[in-house]
Amino acid sequence: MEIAKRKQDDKLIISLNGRLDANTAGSLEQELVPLIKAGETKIVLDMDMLEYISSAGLRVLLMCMKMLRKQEGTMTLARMKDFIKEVFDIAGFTPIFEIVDSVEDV
Amino acid sequence: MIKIKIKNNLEELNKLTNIIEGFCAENDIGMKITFQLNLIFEEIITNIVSYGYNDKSSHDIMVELDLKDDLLTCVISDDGISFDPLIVEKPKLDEGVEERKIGGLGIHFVKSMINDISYKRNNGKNILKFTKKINPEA
Repeated sequence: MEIAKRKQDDKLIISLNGRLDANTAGSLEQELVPLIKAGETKIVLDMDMLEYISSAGLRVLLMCMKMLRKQEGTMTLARMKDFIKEVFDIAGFTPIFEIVDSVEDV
Repeated sequence: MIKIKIKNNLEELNKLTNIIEGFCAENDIGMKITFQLNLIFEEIITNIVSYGYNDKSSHDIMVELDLKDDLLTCVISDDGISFDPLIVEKPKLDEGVEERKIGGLGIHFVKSMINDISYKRNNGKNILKFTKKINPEA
């Protein structure tokens, strides 16, 4: 799992490359939590290169979303593959996050 | 039919993923079903590894995959504490972000992505069996 970050205006864009599973979800949590605590409020996750996600990954995203809400922040998910979007649908997570087709849409 | 033996630690998931991907490739199972199978197995195995054992010893978890025509039958057995995933309550999916509980989604994914599932406790083992229809296009 590769996690790359870049700042664009007030947005923090995080690109995920690889598998977000029980073994890698912890590393995403370690990246995201300090950034949110440091005051980031507009986080965009670019999922174009994300091949896989399980409940361990969703758990981290929900936890971060809860933290962001407390500081009136948002988390946007961009360029999700169809089979990954289906996992979000089954989890009932689709209404919780803003989901867009391209990073530029944010 | 293939039989896979893994140990009760999460690193074994990588090994299982490789075997499942190989099995799917050999049997012309498409990307979407391959993804779903990896997800189903990760959720079940993660539960067993995380909550199944009270000791620090190494345990074996057995996984069987059997594809006949378009029906895949899988059996997962472990000697962990008794755990029946069929009685796990469905998470409340319509709650807002503040109310949503973290966790409880794994079993819900499994039940959503398979066709039949059964559980039995036999000789100190949990035996979970499920079937999944393999649509060749998916």
